[in-house]
Amino acid sequence: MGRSIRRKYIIWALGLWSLLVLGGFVILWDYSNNPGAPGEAPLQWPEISALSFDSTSPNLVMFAHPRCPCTRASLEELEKIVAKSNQQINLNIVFYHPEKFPQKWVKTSLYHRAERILRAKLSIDTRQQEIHNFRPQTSGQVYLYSQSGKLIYSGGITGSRGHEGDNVGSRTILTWINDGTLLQEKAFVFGCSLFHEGKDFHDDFEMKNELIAPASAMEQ
Amino acid sequence: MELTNEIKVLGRKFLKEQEYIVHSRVDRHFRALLEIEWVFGILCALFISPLNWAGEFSQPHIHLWTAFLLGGLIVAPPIILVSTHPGTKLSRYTIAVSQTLFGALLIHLMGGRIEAHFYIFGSLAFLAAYRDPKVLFPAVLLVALDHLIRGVLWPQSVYGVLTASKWRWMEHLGWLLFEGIFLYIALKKSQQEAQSLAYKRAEVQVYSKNIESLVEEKTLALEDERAKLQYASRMAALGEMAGGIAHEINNPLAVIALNVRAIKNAMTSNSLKEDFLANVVSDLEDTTKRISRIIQGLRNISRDSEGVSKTPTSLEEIFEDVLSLCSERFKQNGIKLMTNLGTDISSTQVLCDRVQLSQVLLNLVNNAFDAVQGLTNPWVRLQVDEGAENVQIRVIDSGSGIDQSIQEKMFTPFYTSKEVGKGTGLGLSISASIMKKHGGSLTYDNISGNTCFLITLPIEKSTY
Repeated sequence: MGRSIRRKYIIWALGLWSLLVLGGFVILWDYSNNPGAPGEAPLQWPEISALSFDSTSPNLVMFAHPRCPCTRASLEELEKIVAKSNQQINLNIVFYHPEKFPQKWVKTSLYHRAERILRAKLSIDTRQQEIHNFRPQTSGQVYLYSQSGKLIYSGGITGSRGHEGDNVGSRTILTWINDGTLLQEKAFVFGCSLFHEGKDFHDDFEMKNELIAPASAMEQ
Repeated sequence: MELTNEIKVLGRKFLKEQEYIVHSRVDRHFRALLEIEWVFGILCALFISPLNWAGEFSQPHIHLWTAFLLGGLIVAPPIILVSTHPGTKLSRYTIAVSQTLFGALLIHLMGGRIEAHFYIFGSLAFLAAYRDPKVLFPAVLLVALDHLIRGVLWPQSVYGVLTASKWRWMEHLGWLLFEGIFLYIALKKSQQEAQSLAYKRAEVQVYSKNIESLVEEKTLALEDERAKLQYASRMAALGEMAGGIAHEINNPLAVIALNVRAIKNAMTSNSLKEDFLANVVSDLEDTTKRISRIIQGLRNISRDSEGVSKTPTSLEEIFEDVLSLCSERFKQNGIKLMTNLGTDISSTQVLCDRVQLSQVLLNLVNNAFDAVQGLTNPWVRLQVDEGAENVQIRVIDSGSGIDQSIQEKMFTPFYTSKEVGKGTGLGLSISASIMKKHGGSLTYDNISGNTCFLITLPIEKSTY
């Protein structure tokens, strides 16, 4: 085979390879950047909730699937929020627990990671009572309630699935707690779905298509 | 110093060779690294994100598939190219692209940990091992492209949804460019140093080659001079014996002349008898044969020869050449020349240059002649002792040995203990070098009570 022909084959092969790799990354990026279904949070702290409410400090609630790999990044970000806030936060982390599994199903490394977050109150929601009260859809869902029990923010605290780093949710929560300024009321949540509801797994993901717009856009 | 064209060409060749060694070595290291990364990526997916959950149901996580398939796809071309095109630009640049892509994949597989982003910076440092600044370009370009594509398709993943983060990607790229520029400058400098070293090596090689050819030229000239000196030394030895040789020929000529006169007288007086004539003719025949032998010996020993031409030669022939030239001289000067040849030396053969070996022996005999002249009852003895492997020829004279101080110097060229104008000072040194070339030796024999020089020569095996 001539040198130029061989060269041509190599260039074609590398071109095809580049396309395949690009395709692979597009699938991965698409997965990572596709948010979960947004929670339908009550506008006021539900009185029937067994979670502790503090009328002297901001109340933050996170809902987590104990086995969702993406939620680890949400916990990392949650710890940063606690560390950077200039006032004490009443922090509740609620772990999803289907009744048919034993308690140890919840006690994953993710649960133990949450235990290490300062002053975080962990609860295992075996009968989905709290999930019913707060109506989250996706693991990593965070709600911020004011001292008076008013919903301030509903959304995630990661920029994409399982991706730590600067993100709009964390910034919104910290800005409100520290300065009293609200950047936006809602943001995307990235994580595993908390429900199956007898549907196909992909059907659950259909729910995410309901895009959430920033507060500024909503106001318009 | 100005670099000649030859040095530049050789320097470039050395540089390319050196670069090829470095590039192929780093290629192999990266092949191993990419293989390890692939396995590590799969393990990360298995341990960090094995399943995707929806309530109580789960299915294999997309990371598992991407770690195995996309990871395999990323590492396959460089692994193949390192085997088929090691040390080439193609393999190097493909590795740079693959390494960066795998870094991006690892960020996902490691659960998006901030620390995983450092792998991209680490990869740039690994790529610097190639010592090729251009190899950094594909890596930096790829990161820029990654941010650009994601910025268009999923703006929130790069820019965030806040307008304040719009130029966030520039910050990411800026840090990468900072490291890239720093590495580029360092590598460019290292490349210049490598080039300078290659040119220096070429310079040394060119000069060393020139010196080698100069040494070779001088060695040839010295060899030539040595051959000329050897010839001159031989001629000098013959010159010293010129008087003796004249006698060697003169005596048989006198015998011939007497016999011819006797025939003429017999013819004049009509008394020429058959048996008288037969006797005279036989005498004449022997005498002419003797002259012929002397002439042959003289021709043999004075023949100019280039280098050493070894042929199996009988020791008897060597002794004939030498003795024919000097026996008369010894007789005239009242010096007894004895031969103690032990066994029949006609069957003893040595592999030698007949001219050169005769020259050595003649030289030793002449030296002995000079040394014993003036002594009472002077004698010179040639002695042959045949061993299993070697034959030893001793030239012994009635002298009482040589002073230690002279022994130390006598094999040195141009050293002579003879009076001025009598010796060249080259005889012994040339003789010793001839014997060395024959695989033998010429030494002074300290053990003997008299003055004794010992020639040792290997016997030609084919004679057995």
